[in-house]
Amino acid sequence: MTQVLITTAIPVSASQKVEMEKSLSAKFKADQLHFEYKTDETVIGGVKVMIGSREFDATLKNKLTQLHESLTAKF
Amino acid sequence: MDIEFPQILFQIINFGVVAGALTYLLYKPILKILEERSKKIEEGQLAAEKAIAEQSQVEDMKKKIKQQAEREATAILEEASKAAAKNRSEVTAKAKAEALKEVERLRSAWHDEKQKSMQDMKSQFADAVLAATQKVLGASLDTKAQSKLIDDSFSSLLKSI
Repeated sequence: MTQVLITTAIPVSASQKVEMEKSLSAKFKADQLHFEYKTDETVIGGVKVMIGSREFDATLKNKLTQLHESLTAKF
Repeated sequence: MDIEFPQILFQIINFGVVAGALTYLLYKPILKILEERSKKIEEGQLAAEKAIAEQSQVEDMKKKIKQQAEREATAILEEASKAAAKNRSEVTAKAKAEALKEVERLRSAWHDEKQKSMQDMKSQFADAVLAATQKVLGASLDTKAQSKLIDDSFSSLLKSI
């Protein structure tokens, strides 16, 4: 069984959960995915998905962090 | 007046004896002395001439030595002058190289300082932008916008998986 942790700034709705689980199950062709949901206001917005040890981060916090790194990168 | 031949003969003999004695006792020693004196004078002259010749040789030698010394002194001065010029040139080149190196070091230090200042400014600016953006976004996103944002970001995330 593979653990899937979905993190958002606000709790996801039931329809969103269904859509997410359906899409991820189809994408990974896995029969047994165990979904967990976590609310974390610090991500500001968007969603972060952890599947096993792999992380996919589409949160505003991550985008802002990347922007910050880009701005502070040495020229 | 009668001629007395015996008396004449006696006088002749007497004269001859006196002349012989004088010749033997006086003339020959004087002659010998004169010859020795003449010889000494001649030797003295020869010695004087020799001394003059030697003195001339010495003068020539002194002149040659002086000329040689002057030539050597001139050569040494020229050599010293060349060495000094070379040394001066080397010192000048070294000083120039050191000056250029120092200028380059200062330029590099100034460049590094400028880069550091720019980096600090960028960092401060980025921090300010991040803080302001987080604050604005956190306050402006309502539930509906948050929900839409979740849907959109999940869709884009699915494309990247």
